[in-house]
Amino acid sequence: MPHMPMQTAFEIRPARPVRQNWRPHLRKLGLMDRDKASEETPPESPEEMAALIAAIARDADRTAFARLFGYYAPRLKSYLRRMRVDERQAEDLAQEAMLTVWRKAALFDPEKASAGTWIFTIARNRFIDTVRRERRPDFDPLDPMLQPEEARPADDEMAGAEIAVRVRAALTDLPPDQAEVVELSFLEGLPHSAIAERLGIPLGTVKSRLRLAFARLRTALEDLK
Amino acid sequence: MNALTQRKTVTHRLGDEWLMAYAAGALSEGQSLLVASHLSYLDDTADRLAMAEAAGGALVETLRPDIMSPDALARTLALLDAPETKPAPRAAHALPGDPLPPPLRAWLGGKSVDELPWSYLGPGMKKVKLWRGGPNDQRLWMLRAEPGVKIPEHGHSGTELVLVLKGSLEDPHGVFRAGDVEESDGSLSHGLKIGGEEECICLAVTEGPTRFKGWIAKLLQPFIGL
Repeated sequence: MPHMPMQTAFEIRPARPVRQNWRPHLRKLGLMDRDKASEETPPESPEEMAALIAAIARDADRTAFARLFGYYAPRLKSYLRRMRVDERQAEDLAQEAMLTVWRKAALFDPEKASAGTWIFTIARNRFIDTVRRERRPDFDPLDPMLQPEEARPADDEMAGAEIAVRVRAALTDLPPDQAEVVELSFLEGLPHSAIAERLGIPLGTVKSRLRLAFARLRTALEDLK
Repeated sequence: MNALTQRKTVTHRLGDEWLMAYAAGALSEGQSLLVASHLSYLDDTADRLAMAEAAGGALVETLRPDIMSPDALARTLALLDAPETKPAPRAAHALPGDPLPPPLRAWLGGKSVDELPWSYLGPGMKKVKLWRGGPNDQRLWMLRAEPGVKIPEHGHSGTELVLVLKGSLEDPHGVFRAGDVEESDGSLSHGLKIGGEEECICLAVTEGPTRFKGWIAKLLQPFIGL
């Protein structure tokens, strides 16, 4: 069962402020190093990015790789810098992550994830492995325990891209207090307790904000099932 | 019974904030292992994890691009044909009859529950320490207790997560069975009772030393080492 009961207690919240109001607020907190240009001209479509990975898997297409590299490597470096990796190592890790994209291209499943999501998980795992020197327990995607109950309909081929588009929109619509904890989790890798300390709010508040944010992602994807 | 047959019976799920933190790579190795193990009991994990990871992907895509060194692409292109140096680690599957969920089994290098170095913890209780680190002095360990054993009232400085792998345990909030997680806050001191039907095996992550109440338990404190 989904984790719904929590929601009722938090239903009453102020009307969502318009973006122009909350963005500077987050920028002040150092949370919004957003690329203005990329907002005005949206990045290449998720379908196009997935096609580039498919071309690498199928034809070892170096031109496709160079295009993916041009888009993702500088963003991965930016992500790694936010994760407090030094300049030189962030540069190396971004390159290594892209090398993994080349090597594992055949394992990319556009039904499960978008190119951006898949590449994020590669960089994240690389960071945990190399910088934090920890072993990340992971799932075997072939494990029968993790297979969906029923086969997905055939027209669901690019579900990963659709999920990415909707999640991105849902993130943009998050109330600022939820957006803040989501960004501190994903872009700075902070545990709940560190977020609570950073923002000077109780641990329980950090957790409920993250739960509410996840509930919104779920809602945005509800009819995809 | 193994995890495969019990996935439907999970009644105490961890909140989605744990899934988010796991997807973000924001958990310590110990908490991450417990959360991954818990998630392996749930049948909607693949979908929910995909949603949470999509948030990471979307956020990274909207970051302002950093400047790569001028020869970054050329250097990476030059490496494309080089053979991969280390093989990817193999994930482990559930073993029939063994209560260890696949992420935990893989982390333990494929060991079964009986191959672990269990040591005495208290009457009817054994422990094995697995890891220590992360923020707030976290400890990952396993508990193996005989049916009906009572674990004395205790507390920690921070969060305690207990994932039941086999058997059942009871606290004031209910009964926890394989796949269920008992989450408690450090400020609460609580006791646990092992179900009477079979032995109970749990995976736990605690923050700071475990402090028992009562003078006998306090006397034993130095020997517990958790």
